[in-house]
Amino acid sequence: MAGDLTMLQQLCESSGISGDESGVREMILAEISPFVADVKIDALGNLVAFKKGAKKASKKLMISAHMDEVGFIVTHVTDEGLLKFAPVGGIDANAIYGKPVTVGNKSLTGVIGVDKPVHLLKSEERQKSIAIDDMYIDIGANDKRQALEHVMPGDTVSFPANFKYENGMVKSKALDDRVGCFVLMNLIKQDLPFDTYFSFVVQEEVGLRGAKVAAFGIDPDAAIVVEATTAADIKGTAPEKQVCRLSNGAVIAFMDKNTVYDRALYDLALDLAKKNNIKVQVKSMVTGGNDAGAIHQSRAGVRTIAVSLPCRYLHTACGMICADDIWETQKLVEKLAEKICNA
Amino acid sequence: MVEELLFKLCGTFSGSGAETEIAKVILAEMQNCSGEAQIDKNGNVICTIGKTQEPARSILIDAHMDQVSMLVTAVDDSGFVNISSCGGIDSRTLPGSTVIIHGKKAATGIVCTTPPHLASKKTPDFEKTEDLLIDTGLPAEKVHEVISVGDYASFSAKPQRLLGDRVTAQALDNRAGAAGLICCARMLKDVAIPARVTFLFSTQEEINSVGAKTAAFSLDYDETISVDVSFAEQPGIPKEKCGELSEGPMIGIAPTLSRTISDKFIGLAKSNKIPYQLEIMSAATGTTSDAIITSKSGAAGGLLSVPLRNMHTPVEVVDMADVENTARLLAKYIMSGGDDSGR
Repeated sequence: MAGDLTMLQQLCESSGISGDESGVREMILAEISPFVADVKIDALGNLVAFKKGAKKASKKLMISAHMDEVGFIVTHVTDEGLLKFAPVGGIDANAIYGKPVTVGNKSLTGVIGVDKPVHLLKSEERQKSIAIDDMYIDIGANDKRQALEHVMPGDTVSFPANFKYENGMVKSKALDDRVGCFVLMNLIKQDLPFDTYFSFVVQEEVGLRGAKVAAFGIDPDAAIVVEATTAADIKGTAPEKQVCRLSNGAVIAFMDKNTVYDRALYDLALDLAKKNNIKVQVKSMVTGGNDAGAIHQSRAGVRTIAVSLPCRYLHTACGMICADDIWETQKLVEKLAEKICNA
Repeated sequence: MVEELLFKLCGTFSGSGAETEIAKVILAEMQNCSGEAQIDKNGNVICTIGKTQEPARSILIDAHMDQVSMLVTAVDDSGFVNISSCGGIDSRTLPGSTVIIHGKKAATGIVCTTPPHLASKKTPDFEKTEDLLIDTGLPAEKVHEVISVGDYASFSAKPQRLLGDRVTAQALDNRAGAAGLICCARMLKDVAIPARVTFLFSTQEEINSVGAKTAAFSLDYDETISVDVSFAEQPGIPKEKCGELSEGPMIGIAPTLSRTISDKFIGLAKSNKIPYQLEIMSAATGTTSDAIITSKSGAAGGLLSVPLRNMHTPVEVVDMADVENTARLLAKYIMSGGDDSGR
């Protein structure tokens, strides 16, 4: 199965770190509006859409993906015109040293500079990690005054757009979780058998905050979270620590760091995958977490399952997913939704 | 226009020992300014302008045209690629970078990072370059088809503008110098020059300056000027140990350089109102001038450097004005006939 990835590219190429999701939201809103009966944006910025199906559902289902991506926020401008910054979401300091970034809503180019050139490092310093607190972004400003003409503390910083699709693999920043948004949008554009709520939520990367209030607002009986999850299937990693693997299909977990998943839905997912020839794999480690952690605890509890996409190099300047896994994930979500709504 | 030239030079890969493409680009540029331009057996580009009859004073102007890069050392059965550095690349900037492997076809790869669930609690050290892996996302058999041991790799980061006249790119060391030479040759195109001037764009400076050494042996010259980059101020370098961006070319003063030439540069900068700064070194300069000055029975030498931040990273930074002023100062020096002190 193959499909058009143009929309995924547009989603990945837009910037939207946690708390600054409006650009991504506008893009999604414009795209899905013709296909939904009702759409609203709540107080935190979640986009909640109600899609009419062929029939009324016996169980109210919420399908959710988050719009935000990890990035940085400018905290201070030095006298030299350099920007100090803090990470927004979990970012490996070792993976950002000496990288280009995009700063502020004018999309200025900046670079995360190094402390000193490698030539001047003592041998024991060559492998020594640098804390993000000790890094800075250089936008080419001569001094503080010039820098402040273009940026101010509070401006957001994201990894530069770098989407590439080749040999069946997608390489890009922000695949976590624009690929989830993409799957939801594809479902919305189809005719669905049952009424369904779709939520595109904010602030997952800073504590599952959008999903918490979106779930309260929708008040669902059940929820499916569509996420990108760590695939550690790289050379040198023991098989049991690889979590999941690219091109092995959708990922289902019985438990992660935030959630013990509803066992009936877990079994149902595996069963549906088998019956419908959908590639599925079970997460091989209890690790990571996603919006399910907030949604399943909403109100008096929501039966929740996450269907994830294996993604290498999550939360870095460039992740990698297998395009086929998108379609397997989409099929599984579709089948699960139909069953849940008709329960 | 100089920026366009510099971006073109930085966008053309030129690992040490693989300067064929950049040599073609530079040769084409220099053929516009000089009737005599050729590539020698060591890959150096050599062009002559000015008085060709003896006994004109002969000046050799050099800039190296190679860049730090990586070499593929192994491709394993699962398709992951091992690398070593080719020249002193800042390995701290590798994890999470997108790179291009210049194989039979160019392949995009991601330098693997440690998955978050496998990272230690305290910030881990950077891995050594030889312990890093590149993931192309290609199936193993395709990797072996396209990539071989010995292939070069470079960062995929493209040249970009920062604020003002500042730009960021990989390989500004030493495309900034090479652009300075081309720019200088353009300025001298229709000028009567009171000397014979040879422009040398030399290979493999980042390894052992073999291009400069061999060309210096082949060529006859009375004096030599090298143009390279040097450290501009950035947070980790004490102010007294570096130059400043945007403050003009750095005129080298060192025991190994001719003080007469250094002083002449200072005088010309002053009289022509070209901004300049001094770079004081206490031993050899670490540039091609070390070898060129001591070739055969020796020649007096000078050194101009373009101030640069983040040397040997994918985000080197220079100010275009510094590149242009380096070219202007060099052109004034050549028009004045070089070191006319009578030695």
